[in-house]
Amino acid sequence: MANRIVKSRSWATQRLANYYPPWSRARTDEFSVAQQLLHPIGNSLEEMFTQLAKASRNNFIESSDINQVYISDYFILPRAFPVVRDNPDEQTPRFRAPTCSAKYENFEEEEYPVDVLALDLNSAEGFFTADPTGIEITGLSETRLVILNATALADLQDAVFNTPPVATNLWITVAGATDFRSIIGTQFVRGYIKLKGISSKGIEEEEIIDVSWNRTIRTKLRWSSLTEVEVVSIYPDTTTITIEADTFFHARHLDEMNLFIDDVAERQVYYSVQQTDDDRTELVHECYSALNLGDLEDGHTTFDVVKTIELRDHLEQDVLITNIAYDPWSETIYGTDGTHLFFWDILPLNPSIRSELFSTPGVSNRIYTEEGRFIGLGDDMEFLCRRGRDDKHLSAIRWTVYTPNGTKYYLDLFDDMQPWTDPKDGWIYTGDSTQDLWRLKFHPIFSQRGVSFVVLETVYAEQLYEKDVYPVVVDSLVARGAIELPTDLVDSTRLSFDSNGTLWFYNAGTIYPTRLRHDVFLMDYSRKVAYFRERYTEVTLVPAT
Amino acid sequence: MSLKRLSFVFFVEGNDTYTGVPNHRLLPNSYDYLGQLVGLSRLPNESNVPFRDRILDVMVNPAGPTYTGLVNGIYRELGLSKFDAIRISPVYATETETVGRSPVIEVKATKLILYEAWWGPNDYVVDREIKFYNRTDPGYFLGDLVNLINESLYFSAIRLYDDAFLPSQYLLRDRTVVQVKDEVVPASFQIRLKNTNLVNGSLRIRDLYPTYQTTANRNMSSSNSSNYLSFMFNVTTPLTVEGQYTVDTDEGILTFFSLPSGQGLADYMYFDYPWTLKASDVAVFGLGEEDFFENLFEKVEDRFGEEHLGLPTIEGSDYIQELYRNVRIIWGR
Repeated sequence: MANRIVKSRSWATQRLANYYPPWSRARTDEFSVAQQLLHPIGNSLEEMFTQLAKASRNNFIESSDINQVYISDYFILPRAFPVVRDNPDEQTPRFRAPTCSAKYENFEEEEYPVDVLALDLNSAEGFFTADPTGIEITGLSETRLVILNATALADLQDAVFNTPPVATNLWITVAGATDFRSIIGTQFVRGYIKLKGISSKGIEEEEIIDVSWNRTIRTKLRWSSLTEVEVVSIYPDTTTITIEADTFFHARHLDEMNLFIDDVAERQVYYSVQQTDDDRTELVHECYSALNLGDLEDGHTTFDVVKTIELRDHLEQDVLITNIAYDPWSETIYGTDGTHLFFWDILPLNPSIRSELFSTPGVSNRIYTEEGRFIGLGDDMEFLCRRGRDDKHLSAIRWTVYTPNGTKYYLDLFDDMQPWTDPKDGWIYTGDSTQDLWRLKFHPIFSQRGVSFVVLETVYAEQLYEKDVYPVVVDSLVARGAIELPTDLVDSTRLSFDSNGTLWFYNAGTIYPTRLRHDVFLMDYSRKVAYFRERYTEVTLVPAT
Repeated sequence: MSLKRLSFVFFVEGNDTYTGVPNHRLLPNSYDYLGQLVGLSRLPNESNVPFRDRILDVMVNPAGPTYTGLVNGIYRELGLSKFDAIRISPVYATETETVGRSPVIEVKATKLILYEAWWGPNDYVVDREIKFYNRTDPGYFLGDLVNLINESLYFSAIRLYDDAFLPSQYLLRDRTVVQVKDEVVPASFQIRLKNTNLVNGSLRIRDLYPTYQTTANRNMSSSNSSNYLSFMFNVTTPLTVEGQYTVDTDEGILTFFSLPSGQGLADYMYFDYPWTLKASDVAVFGLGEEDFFENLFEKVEDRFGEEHLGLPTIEGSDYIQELYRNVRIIWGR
């Protein structure tokens, strides 16, 4: 049901309909039969446009997909390699995949055995778009040296700084701050940290680092030693500051974009995770709003959650994700719960839902809410009735919720939800003095996944009946797959991609560069050749029986 | 690993297990196309990330017929790298003043020269020279070179490259001053140049006159070919005479007694410490480089005590033999 509603109308439909003559209803009315027939075509066209736009990114060096396959190992099997047909009775042959295992060399040139999996779809498309099957550590881990242990701002004056062994950039982590701005005189002052000490030049210097949210920031200067850290306009005093130094003093592990292990929870990106009820995770599409551009510039914005979607693991179970990373090339979200790495497709979070399809044409009493229509499981939402006509007497009103599994609830006089048994249930008859009813608020709790409909029905004294419908989506993303983490990466607390496609894990101060492995093979049964996504030193194939 | 891949091993264990070493083939993708646009092809087995970095490097470090261009072209085409090797700063007596009068370091083909004072290519005082061409030279390895620089009273150096045993020959030719050409300066009582810490005596300004002049005057003076201003440096006494001017080299500020005329163009050199000396994985020597040339021929003193080049050394004759074989040059003509 959710899919039918969400993808009901594509923006490409109108483009198709524009080929009809201007006077035709097929062109001008989006609910016309012709346009309803065009929706599936419009949807497929829209998909094509999206693919085309995605492919055109490969024309530019900075946006080209770094994870494209550039090399393929292949293994020519002897002609005598037995091939077993799975469907001997049918015309189109289908074969039973052989079992494959292989050995690969890691970055330290040690050989590791690995199982190579047969593709679900034994085709070039399945080969190139295969999901990752494993994770490989691709470099030596680095442990940051602690220059200043996590210290509250109130205790910062007595802080003792360790000295890095060589002059190096420092990592400054701010945590627990809730406010990053103060008013001094008439001017807003954004939060910043001022470092004082001896720089790599051997002279006393200062560096000011702007902080507008809790995160980890790298200094621009290389510091030989620190003598003082001053913090301005960051509150409360319990906010902690941690300073760490890299052990490597050439910044070779960083790419140009300085993307590195960032702090998780309050990062100013489009996607973020939040925990609910201690056992589930929700993906939040964040939106920041501000009263004016100055506030936005100050980083002092109010935080609005507009779209929430629940993340579930590959077995459709609740899972507690501690960290996510977004891969812009494959448009995939990777997340870890400490033992597994899960990956989810990013669903289009801007579906068009046409509530007009269900409402009375020209309805004047509208449902009003400030919270959008995408919420998490078990959340409640506040609805109001926005009155359209004051010139008519309202005689009755009814709030109803249609849940995805078919049960209906109505709002009683005490603002409680009651199961709806009789068609006459739930009507609240208002007299002449009904102004209070307009302020009636409805707080339904959405405890089922899927699309629920909130319905507001009103009857005027003139027997005029109106109905407004507001769909609310409680959606969940089921992981496409899961990879078990190697022992070094278990219980990692942070996760991020850099622009080289390296997936970085951060675990208690130790940083690991990793890459996702695709241990799959494509079988050419007629020529008897196996193709691989990864490089191997040795492969072993056992024919199917 | 590459040797193993060259030979295609194949054997059968029992009847139903097929084991061997896979071969590989390259699958061109969008990076190969983008590489074609800048004239780069993928190296054998090169993955997307280093290939992308090489494509991006084409415009950052352009190849060309100059020394820098050759180094850039060679290291990129071979998939090697250019990296930071040493960071140098002068030793400071006070917060702003250095111990040396005008400390400059110059990397030449076979040696590194530390100048206590350097005011121009023909006007300098050498602190010390550190040779690094031969294996027996004191600065042959980068780590030793850094230690030797730190022995000087005027300079301190930090090794940025991890490997202390990198031959110092890989350092790129460099001099720790920046040359500025044709910086536009307006006519004003005080002029602030874009850069500070000028090299004494390097400032020359064209088409700017210390006093207001009519067009006729200006034409006359330029026809006398005296349209360059030469400056008194760091004069602290107040200016008193019409047409007098001075420059503060530390701050890069020019001061005139009276309003000058015209819009001038300034050429000068300035120090920009700390300076990073770069190195690459290729060492390029030019036969025209004097200090490299010295290693190829023995020195002979004539009866007046002047040094001349004599017979080729063993290394020099090696090069000559190599050139004989590869280049169509008829020596001695």
